[in-house]
Amino acid sequence: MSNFRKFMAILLSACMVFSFCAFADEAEVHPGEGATKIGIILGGNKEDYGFNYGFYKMAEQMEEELGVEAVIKENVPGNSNVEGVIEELINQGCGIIIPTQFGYLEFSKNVAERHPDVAFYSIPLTDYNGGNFSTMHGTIQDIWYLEGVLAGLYTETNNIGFIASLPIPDVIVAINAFTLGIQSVNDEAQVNLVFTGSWDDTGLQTTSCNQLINDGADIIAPFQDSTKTIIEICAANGIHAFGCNSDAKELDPETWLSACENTADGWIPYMKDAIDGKYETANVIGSFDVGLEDLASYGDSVPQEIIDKVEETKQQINDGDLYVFEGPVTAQDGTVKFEEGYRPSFEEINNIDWLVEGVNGSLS
Amino acid sequence: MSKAGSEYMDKLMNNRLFRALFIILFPVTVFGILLLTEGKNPIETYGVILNAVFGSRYGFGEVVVQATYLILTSLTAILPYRVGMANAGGEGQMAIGALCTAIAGTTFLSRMPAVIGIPLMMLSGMAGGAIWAGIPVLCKAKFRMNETLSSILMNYISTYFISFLLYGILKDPKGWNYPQTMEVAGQLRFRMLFSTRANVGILISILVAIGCWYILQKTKIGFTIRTIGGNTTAAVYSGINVKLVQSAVFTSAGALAGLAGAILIIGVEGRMRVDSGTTMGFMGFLAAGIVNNNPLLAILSAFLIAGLNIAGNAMEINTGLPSASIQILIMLVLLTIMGMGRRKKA
Amino acid sequence: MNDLTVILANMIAAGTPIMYALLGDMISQRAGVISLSVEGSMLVGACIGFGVAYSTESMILAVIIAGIMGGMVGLLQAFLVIDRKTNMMASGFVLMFFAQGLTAFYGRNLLSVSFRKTLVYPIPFLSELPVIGQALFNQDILTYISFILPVIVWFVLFKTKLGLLVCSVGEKPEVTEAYGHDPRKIRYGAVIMAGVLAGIGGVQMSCIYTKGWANGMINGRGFIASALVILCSWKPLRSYMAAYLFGLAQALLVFLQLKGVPISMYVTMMLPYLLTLAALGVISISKKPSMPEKIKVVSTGTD
Repeated sequence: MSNFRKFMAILLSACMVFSFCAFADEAEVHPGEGATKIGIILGGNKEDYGFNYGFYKMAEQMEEELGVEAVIKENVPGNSNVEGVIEELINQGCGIIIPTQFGYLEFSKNVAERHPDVAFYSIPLTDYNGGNFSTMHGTIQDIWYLEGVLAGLYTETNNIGFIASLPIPDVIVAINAFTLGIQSVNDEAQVNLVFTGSWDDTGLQTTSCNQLINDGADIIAPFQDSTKTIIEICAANGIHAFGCNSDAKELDPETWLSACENTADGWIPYMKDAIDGKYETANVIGSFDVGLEDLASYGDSVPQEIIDKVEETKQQINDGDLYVFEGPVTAQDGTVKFEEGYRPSFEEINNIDWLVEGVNGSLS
Repeated sequence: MSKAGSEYMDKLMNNRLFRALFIILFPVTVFGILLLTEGKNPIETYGVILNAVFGSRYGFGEVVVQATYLILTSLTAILPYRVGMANAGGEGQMAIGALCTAIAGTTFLSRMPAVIGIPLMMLSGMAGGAIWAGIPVLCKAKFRMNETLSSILMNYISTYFISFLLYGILKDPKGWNYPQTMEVAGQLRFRMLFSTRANVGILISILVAIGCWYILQKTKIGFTIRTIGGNTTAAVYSGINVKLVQSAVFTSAGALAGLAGAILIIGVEGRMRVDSGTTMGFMGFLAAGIVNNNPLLAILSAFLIAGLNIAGNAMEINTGLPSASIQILIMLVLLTIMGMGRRKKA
Repeated sequence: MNDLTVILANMIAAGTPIMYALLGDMISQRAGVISLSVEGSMLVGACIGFGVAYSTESMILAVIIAGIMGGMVGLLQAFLVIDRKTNMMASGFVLMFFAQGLTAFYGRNLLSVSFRKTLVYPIPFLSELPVIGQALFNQDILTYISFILPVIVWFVLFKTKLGLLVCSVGEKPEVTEAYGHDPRKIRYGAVIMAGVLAGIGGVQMSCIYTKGWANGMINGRGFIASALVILCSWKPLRSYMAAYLFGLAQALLVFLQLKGVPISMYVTMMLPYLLTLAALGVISISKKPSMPEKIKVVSTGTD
C-alpha cells in the first residue's frame, strides 16, 4: 500500500508541476497562432445539401481566404467519441478546431483545456466560452423570418408545409420564426408541421412531401440534414421548396425558393487574428449583422417585387426596427409568451419550447 | 477445379500461417488499391493508421475505451447464441442501460459517495438492459413471439423512447434546451487513467468476459447451457428446464449490455445524450460473429474493431477521404476474417 | 385525392421496396439462410441502379443492373455462409455495412444529379375507380409487379419442383441429396435470388419512390424486411400484410401528425415498430410459426 501511495504522490506532484507549467505559459500562449490546418467536425455527410454541405462550402472559403488547409471529419455522432476525434485532429496539426454540434460541447471543452495553444470556435449556445474556447452562434430566426415573408407572399394556396426532424432548439426557433414571418405578410396562410424523427430518412421525407402536397401545400420548407429528396420530390410535383442551412439551388433553380445559409464572413476575421497570434475569446451571436448567417440565392421563379419586400424586411431587421420575436408573441395554447414590445434575449429564444399560434403541429 | 487442386486449396485454407497472412494482407492490399485509385499513398496512410493506434498513448486509450463496450455487447450476442437464441437487440439494451444509469446518477444517487453510488448506478444500468431484454423474453414465453425479431424492433423503439424522455421530462433545465440529461455528479465518475480516457471499465469488462468463459466451460450451469446449445430437444428429454435457462441467459445478456451502457455513462459520457453509445451494440454483434461466439476471443475481436474505428478516424483526417472509406476498410477486414477465420469442416 | 387514397398511396409507396426485399429474403430463408445482407443488396441496387438510370435514361437497364449487383452481394453472403460456414446474421450485418461504405464512397458523384423521368403508367379504367383507383392503379411497372410478386413466389415455392427443392434444402438437405440434387447449389441460388430481388427493391426506392440517391437511403428497410419474414411465418402470401403494414405505419406516422391527432409524436415515430410487434404477437398466439428447420439454429454451431 505504501508503495502505491508513494506512486500516487509522485504522480500528483508531477501533475502539479505540469499544471504550474501550464499556468506559467498561459500569458504567452496564443491559441491558433500560425495554424496551417483547421479541423472541422461534422455530424453528417458533407454532401447532404443541408447543414454539413453548407459547412463544407464554408470550409472551402476559409481555405481560400486564410490560406490554410481545412480538414473535415464527417459522420461524428454527438457523443463522447468526439473527444478522441478532436485529439487526433490536433495530433495531425490542426491549430483551429470547429466543433459544429451541441453533442460535442463538453468534450471539445475538455480538449480545449488540455490544449491551450489550439483555438476552438464552437457553434452551439453555451456558457463554456472563455480562454481558447469561443462561440460563434449563428441565430437563424432572422433568416427563417425572411423565408417566412417570402413564403407568405409567394403562396397561392395559403398552405405551407414544414418537414422538421427533431425538436432541438434550432428547429423550434426556425418553425416559429418562419410562421411569424408568414403571418407578417399573410393572415390566411397556415403552416402544417410534421416531424420525421430523423435527419436523413429519405423515405419518410417522401411520404411527408406526398401527404403535404396532397393536403394542398404549394411550398415546403424542410429542417433536415439531407434536403435533396424533398427538393427533388417538390420539383417533380411542380411545387416550391426551401432548402435548409445550405444553398441547393443547383438541384432545381425553377422550384427553388431560398434557404438559410451559414456564411464564413463572420468567422474569417476572428480566425485571421488567431492565426496572427492575436486570439481573443469571442462570443459572437447573431445572423447577417455579424456575418454568420444569410439568405441563400433566390430561386429563378421568385418575382422581383417579392425579393424587394424581403430585402426591405432584411434592412429593417438590420436597422433594429424589426426584432423577430418582439412581443406580442402568442403560443399555440393562447398564452402570451412575450408581452407587447418585449424583446427576448438570444438565450430566451434558444429556450423556447412551444410553438406560436398558427402552426398546425405539436412538439410533444 | 480438379480434385487434387481442390484438396490442395483445402489444405492451404487450413494452414494457420497462410490464413493469418491472408487475413492481414488481403484487406490491406485491396484497400491499398482503393487508396491508389484515389491518389493517396497507401504506405503513408497505413503509417498514419498504425501511429494513431500505437503511436500515442491517448490514441491507444481511445481504443481501450471503445473496446470496453464492445467486449460487453459482444457477450450480449454470444450468450444467447449458446442457448440457441439470437439477440440482435444489444444496441437498444445498451442504450436503455445507459439511460437508467444516467437517471439513477442524476436523481436519487446524486449525493452518494462513490463507493455506494457507482455500484448502484451499474446495477441500475444492468437492470435497465435486463428489462429491455426481458420484454422479448416475456413475449416469447407468453406469446411464443420470435425473440430475434422482437429484439430488433426493441432497438428502434428504444431510440424513440429515449428521445421522448430526453426531449421531454429528462431534459437538463440548465442545458440550453438541448436534449440531454443533467450531468452525473463528479464523484460518481470513473477516474481517467494514464492521462488517457481509459478507465477501470476495461478491467470490469475483461473480467466479465473471462467470467462468462469460466461459467460456460467449467461450471454445472455452463454444462447445462452447452447441452441446450448443442441439442435443445435432447436437453428437454434430459430434464433441463430449457425455457427457464434460455430466458435467464437472454436476460442476463441484456444486463451485460446494460452494464456497457453504465460504464459508458460513468466513464466518459457523463450524461445521457441521444447519440450516446450509438452503433456499439451492432459492432458488438459483429465482434461476436467473427469469433464464433467464443467469450475469450471476443476480447480480441472487440479490440480489433475498436482499433479499426480509431485508426479509421485518423485515416480520414489524414487523407481527406470521406468517412465511408473507413467503413469499407473495417468491413473488408471483418469480411476477410469471416471468410478465412474458420477451418473448413471436413 | 381524399385522405384514404393518400394513405393507401403512401402505404404502397413505402411498402413496395420492402416487399421486394422481404420476398427475396423469404426465398433465402426457406433454403435455410437468413440474408440480412438484403439491406446491402438494396443499397447497392439503389445506388448503381440510379447511376445507370441517370446515365442511360433507361429504366429497364437500371433494373437489370441493379438486380445483378444486388445479386453480387447475395453471392458474397452465400459464399460466406454456405462455403465458409460463418454466422449468417453476422455476415449479413457486415455486408450491410460494407455496402453502405461502398455506395457512399462510389456514389458521391450521384448525389448532385437528378433523374426525373415520369415512370407512372395509369391502367385505363381501373385507375378511375373511386378511392383505390389512384392509389393502386396509377403506379410504375415495378409497383405493379410487386402486387403480383407474392403470388409468383408462392407459386414457385410451393407448386413447382424447383420451389419444393428450395424448401427441402431448408428442412432436410439429406432428402434433396437423395433425389440427386446438390443442396449447396440450390442454396446458392436462393441466396443470390434474395439479393436480386432486394436490388430491384432498391432501384425502385431510389429511382421511383424518393427520386434520387442519398447516402444510406435504405436506412434499415432491408434489415426490417429481413425481420418481417418472421412476421410472415415464411409464407409468401402474408408478405402483403407484412410489407403494407410497415408501409401503412409510415403513412400514418405523417398523417396522424398532420391531422392533429393528440398522440405524442414519439409514439407515432415508433408506430412502424410497435405495429410490427403487435402483429407478431397476434400471429404467434394464433398459430405456431412454421420456421424452416435449418434456421432454427441461427448460428452454425459454436466451437
